[in-house]
Amino acid sequence: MKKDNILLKIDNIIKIFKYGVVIGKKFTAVDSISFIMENRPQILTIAGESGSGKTTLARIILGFLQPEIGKVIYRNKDVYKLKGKEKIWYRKEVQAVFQDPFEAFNPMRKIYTYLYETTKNIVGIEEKNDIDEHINQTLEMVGLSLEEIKGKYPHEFSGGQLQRVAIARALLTKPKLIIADEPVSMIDASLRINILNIFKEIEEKFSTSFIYITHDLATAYYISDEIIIMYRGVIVEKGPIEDVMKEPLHPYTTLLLDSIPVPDITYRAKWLKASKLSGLEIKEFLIKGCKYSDRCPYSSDKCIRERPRLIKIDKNREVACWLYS
Amino acid sequence: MSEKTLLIENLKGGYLLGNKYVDAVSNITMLVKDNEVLGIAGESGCGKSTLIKMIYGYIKYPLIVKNGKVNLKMNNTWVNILKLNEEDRRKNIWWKYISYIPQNSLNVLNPTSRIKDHFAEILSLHRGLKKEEAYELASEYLKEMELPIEVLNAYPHQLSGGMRQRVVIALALLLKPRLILADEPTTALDVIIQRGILTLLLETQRKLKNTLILVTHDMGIHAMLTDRIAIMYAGKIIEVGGTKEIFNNPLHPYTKILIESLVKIGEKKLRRGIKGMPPDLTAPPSGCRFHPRCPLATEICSLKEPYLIKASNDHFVACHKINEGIKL
Repeated sequence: MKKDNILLKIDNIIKIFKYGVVIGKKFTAVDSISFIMENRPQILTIAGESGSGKTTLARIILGFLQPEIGKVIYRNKDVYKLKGKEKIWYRKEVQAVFQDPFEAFNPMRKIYTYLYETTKNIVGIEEKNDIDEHINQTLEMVGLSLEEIKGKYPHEFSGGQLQRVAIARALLTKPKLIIADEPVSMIDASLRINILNIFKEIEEKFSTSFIYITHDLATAYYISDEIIIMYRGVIVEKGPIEDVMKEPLHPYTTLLLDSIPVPDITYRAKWLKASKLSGLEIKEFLIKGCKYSDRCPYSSDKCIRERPRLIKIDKNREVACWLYS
Repeated sequence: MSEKTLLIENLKGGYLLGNKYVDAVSNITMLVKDNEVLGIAGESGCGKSTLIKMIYGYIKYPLIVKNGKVNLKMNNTWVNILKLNEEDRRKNIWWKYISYIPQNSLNVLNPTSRIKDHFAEILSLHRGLKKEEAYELASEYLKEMELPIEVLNAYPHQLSGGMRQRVVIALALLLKPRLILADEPTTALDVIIQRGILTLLLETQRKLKNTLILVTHDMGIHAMLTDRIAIMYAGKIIEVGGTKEIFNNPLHPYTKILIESLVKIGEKKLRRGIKGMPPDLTAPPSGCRFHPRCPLATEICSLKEPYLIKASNDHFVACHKINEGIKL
């Protein structure tokens, strides 16, 4: 692939966290992760449950958390080697939306001041009228207007409204990529879909790409094209979302898909046939071989001893499992 | 016909915030049967957790009860739980007749005592068992609940969230209560563990033939587990019916839009959510509380409150328009 065709390249990222005050223990939160996002509008889902390392990975991509090993290359530039103006350029190009909009805004500050400062300092618009016009146009993309938000503090909004403001703030800089970390998990189902529809619209109208980080595979299917499934710090499976959901390769993906409660009672009988819960969970992070080997029904000696690498199965699909190599 | 286990009559209560009152549970009347799993569904702030607290009789300021009864059948006589004092509830009702499983297990477990002592405390209070006897019974019982014996010696914080929640469920079922109230019991857990815990909860309910009231915002869980569903909106129950009926033939405009807004795996069809925001319960809308957001609303909806009316066998809906025969 030509370099210009690559938007984001995650190259063998390893992030180690230390814990324990007296005895220094450590675990690898993100373990040798690599993937490439092509330079075309798309929504890529990174899915996984708590402890899968998906949020850590998001923070690494955003430039908030330097990995021990590996590189984040954005349009041919190493994100952790950016200097001066390049840093502002990266802020402009890559934006973030987080889970809890109430944490993203200081409760003592008016919402407008955030939008004003971003427009002035990062977008670089000088005139007050031009700033307001830019803010208003951007708010309209998420179904709001300047009039509705002016003079208001965060607590005067509902969660769904404030999340739309947070999305608008991210859009102010006309980013090429938005990293959205569980952006709808605190929003009620009947309003959640409205936010997801906004993402789809932004992708189509403004050619903005998204990395959608979630534990919710149903919403992932609804909006995204590609999916990466993470488990305990590693990528276990990657591919076009329709293929992965219809015919999962990794045993973990299969179990995850079967476990989701579906709002459709025809799935009930199958769902109620759950396998027994495991005993005391052992420290899966410390397992040498496949992290899933102690729960996997197909586990063999090799799985426990040796880590399977992510390998290509066909043109689009990759899986890290000894069943396939 | 199945026996009734709980009868809630015209129950009203909510929170005092300064000089404001949040009308979280607004004149709810409901029958709950023996040997059923009743789901209570609704979105944040609809009053579903408050209703559960009131049924449990756990009324702590700023929560107040304005009127109504929570009648529980105990040895074939009806007892209004709200009339008892807390000491009575603690001694004679909680754990024995009604158990409560909250979202956060740390609200129930004492961080400074070992899991086995949690079992010992309940067994000594209600069964008069000595410590050693209680420990022995607890380890027998854990096997039955498919929990590893090792947890008995652990402190709550040493266990994972999923394991803690399994312990709380085991404690809640220990004295075989007639009624189990579970408020978002698995919301904080991963889906694989959630599935294991909920299926265990259902199996135990089927074995004991008691009643489980399961509160969750997750319509997927309702579809997988409940026999009937009560849909709450802004402090009111607006629709009740068999789970299959609610999913296949929702009647109230709110229920209908809610169910249509749910995405399922394998579907990319464009879906729409509900316009607007849920109302402020310190000043709820007049008439039907859904009328400002309802596509069917006419004048009567803002003037007169609709009551639950039988639409078909075991299916009730509170909507003027639906009762006039108008469909969304």
